[in-house]
Amino acid sequence: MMSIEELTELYLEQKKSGNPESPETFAARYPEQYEELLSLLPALAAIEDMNDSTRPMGSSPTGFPHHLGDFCLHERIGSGGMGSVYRATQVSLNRDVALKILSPTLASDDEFRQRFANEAKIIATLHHQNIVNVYGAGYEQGWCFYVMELIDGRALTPDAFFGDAERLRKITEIAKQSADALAYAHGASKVVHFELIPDWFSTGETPSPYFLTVRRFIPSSRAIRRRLQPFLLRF
Amino acid sequence: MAKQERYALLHKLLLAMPENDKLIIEMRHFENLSNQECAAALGIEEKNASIRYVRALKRFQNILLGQTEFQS
Repeated sequence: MMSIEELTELYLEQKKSGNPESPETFAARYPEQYEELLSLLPALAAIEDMNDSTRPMGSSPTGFPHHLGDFCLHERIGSGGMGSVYRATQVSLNRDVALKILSPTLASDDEFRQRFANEAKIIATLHHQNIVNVYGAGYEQGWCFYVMELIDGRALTPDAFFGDAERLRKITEIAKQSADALAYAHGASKVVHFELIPDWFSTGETPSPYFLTVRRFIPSSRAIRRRLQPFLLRF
Repeated sequence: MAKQERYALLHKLLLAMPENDKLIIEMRHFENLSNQECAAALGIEEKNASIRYVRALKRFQNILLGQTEFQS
């Protein structure tokens, strides 16, 4: 039986995915925890609905700014990995970019600020058609951020090609592009990807219909230490 | 009650919550941090971070139940 914490997490994921059930419908699937779920899920749903309504930013309780230096911020297009990603306009060059902003809570911690800066530096060393470009990094009005190429595409989800007659061919193409990008990153810059999950992949229209963008890398030495050690300890 | 008024009231109620509750709700919902990231930021175990989040939600739900605007 799943714990109340696990079920809450599950419902939060569902809510953030944009296709949620009502708290009552969700809770009804877990009769033993029905009452307890209904003692908190409506609050979760209300907060998340409010959060959704405040995009683009400016009025959320954490008060994200509308402008950061040369950048005018628009809607949030992604989240996770220490912060949120916004579509933005770089005013001086009149171009659209993606701005990743470090979460304000994490920004108060030296270690997280350093980790965030390292993430930008690592991606900036990679030059590959399937890896997102980093244009720069900045610190304005107490906010840490870095600037990325804006990918005109959609997130790769497990059901991305569901019902598509060419599903197998597309998945094979994505796997090939992923392997190519990761092999390049490992070979050229000695970095590996932090966690290979669909969230970090975007499929776009150019230059091919299944153009893939991979984000978030860390140095392989650190990755080996962090990711492989738990497995090694089993033996 | 209009949607915007409802959100304004929710916002006000959230801001009036105890600091610990407010912090974890802001981190999970507005900063979109995962439970793992919250735990790391707060320097606590992941299990305790998720317990803290669930408790904060329960307290907020109780506050909402005390408001006629949120009784359905």
